Formats: sequence, structure tokens, C-alpha cells
Amino acid sequence: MRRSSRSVLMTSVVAAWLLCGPVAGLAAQPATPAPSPSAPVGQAAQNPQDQFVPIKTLPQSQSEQLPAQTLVMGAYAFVWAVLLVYVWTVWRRLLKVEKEIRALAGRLGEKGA
Amino acid sequence: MKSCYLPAVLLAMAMFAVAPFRLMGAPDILVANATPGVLLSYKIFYYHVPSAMVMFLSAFVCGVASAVYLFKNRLAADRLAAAAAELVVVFGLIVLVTGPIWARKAWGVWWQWDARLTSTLLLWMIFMAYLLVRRFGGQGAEKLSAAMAVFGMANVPFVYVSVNIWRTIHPTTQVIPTLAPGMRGVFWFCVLSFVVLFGLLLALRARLEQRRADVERLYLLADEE
Repeated sequence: MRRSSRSVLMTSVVAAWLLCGPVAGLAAQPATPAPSPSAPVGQAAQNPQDQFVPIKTLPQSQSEQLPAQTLVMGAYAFVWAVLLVYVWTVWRRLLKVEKEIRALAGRLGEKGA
Repeated sequence: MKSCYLPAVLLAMAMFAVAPFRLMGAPDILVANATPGVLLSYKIFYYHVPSAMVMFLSAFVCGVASAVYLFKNRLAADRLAAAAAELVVVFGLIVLVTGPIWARKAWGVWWQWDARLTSTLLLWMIFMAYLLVRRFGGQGAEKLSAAMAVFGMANVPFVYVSVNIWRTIHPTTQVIPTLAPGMRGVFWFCVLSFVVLFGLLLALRARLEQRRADVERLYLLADEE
């Protein structure tokens, strides 16, 4: 019974891997835009000097702009969060050990008496 | 030692409270012709680099203490190594998260598989493995993990010089010695804050190891009686 459940588990893992592999591979492929039939293909090649547009005149793409303030504050908050969580975990472990020491010392004291 | 602890805690707290104000007042002259957004993101430099320095320091403490434990069999050195290894992981996590946040704004990508980033990740993973071996390795895990820590420490100089040997997108080690005077004071203030914090955390974590050793001793005593 245990053996069969293990084989079922193994089969599902292999099946999941086989299914996810190609999907992950496709996701890793760079997206290549399909050529638009209405795009004037020959126009760009005709006069390449006219294609230059100064960066200041380009419309700002809001989706690509990452506010630096959010990043700086996010990174700073992360530093604080990591340090506080770490101190808290050490503190908790220390309290647990101290409790264990008190219990053991009490037990030894009882035996000694 | 105990009498120094409270003043050190207060000093670290004061330094961390003052640091953001000093940071905001620091001049942004690390890169020329950068946009205001990119310049602001360079403030991450003031806590990303000190975290990396403390990570290296912690790896050295862990490696040296592990070597002392391996060759002299001193249990106190093993306890110090365990404490320092955990701090390598903690400060390494800060480095590996704040770095990509900064990189997203400065380089336009979160991560690059360049020599410095990859070797730092490997260093972090060595010390993560140290903690896992120590936790789940069973009998003799202390010796095995101590040997790992020595190799982890040996990796630190390679991580440091990697940016000079394999030139990629990460800045070289020449950035810190050539900092502008206005930035230098703030930067070393941040480094000192992180070093004080490291000392405090190391003492706290080493105390935990000491108390765990006391528990072991008490269990042995209880078994004997």
C-alpha cells in the first residue's frame, strides 16, 4: 500500500515536471512581436535620419517608471524588518533556553534536597 | 563585558536613528549625468555596502573561530562560529535584497549573473549550508560545518576581487577609496553603525549558544544523579 502510494507520488512528480518543463521553457523565450500587416515596412528604410526622436520629447511610459523613493524606502524598511525579526527570534530562543535551565535547575535542586 | 552591553545598545540605536538624516543630507555625486530618480536610488549604497562589509567580517569571524575549534578543539570558538555564521546569512540576505532593488533603478534589471553577484550568492549559500549541516547533520556535524566555514572564509577574498578580475556591470573596489569628501563621512558613519550592530548581535547570539551549552551540561548532571 505504502509502495503503491509512493509510486503514485513519483508518477505525479514526473508528470508535473514533464508538463511544467515546456511551459517554463516557453515563458523563458523572449517575446517576439508579430509583424503587423498594416505597418509601413519600407518607410523606415527609406529615410533613417528622420527616425531620430530626442528622448526628452518621448511620452513618459508610466508602467516603466519605478519611483526611486519607493525603492529606497523599501530597501531601508527591508533592512529594519530583517534585523528586527532576527533580534526577535534570538530573543525568543533565549527565553526558551532560560525557561529550560530554570526547570532543570529546579529538578536538580529537588533531587539534591 | 555585560556593563558594555547597554551603552552599546544605546549607541547603536542612536546611530541608526541619526543615519537616515545624514543619508538624506549626503551629496549625490557618485555618478555624473544621472536623472534625479537614479541619484536618489544611490542612497541604498549607504546601507548595501556596509551590510556587505559586515557580511565579510562575519564570515572571517566564523572561519577563524571554526579553524580554532578544528585545530584546538575549543568549544567556545565553535559557539562563536555558530553565532557568526547566522549573521553571515542575515547580513547576506540584506545585501542580496537591497542590491537588486538598487540595480533595478541604476542598471534597469533586478539581477545579472555577473561575477560579484553570483559569488556573493554562493558565499551566502555556503553559510546557509553550514547552518543546515549544523542543525540536521547529527553526530559530528560541528566538525563538518567548521570545515565548511573555513572554505566559506577562503571564498571572501575571491568575492571581493571578482569585480576587478571579471569586469562586468558591478562597480569595482575603487569606488570606496575614491569617494567624494561629502560622502565619505556619511558612508563610514554607516559602516561604524553596522559594525556596532554586528558586535551586539554577535554577543547576543553567542550568549544563546552559551546558554544552550549550559542546558546540555545540566541534562548530563541530571542523568548522573
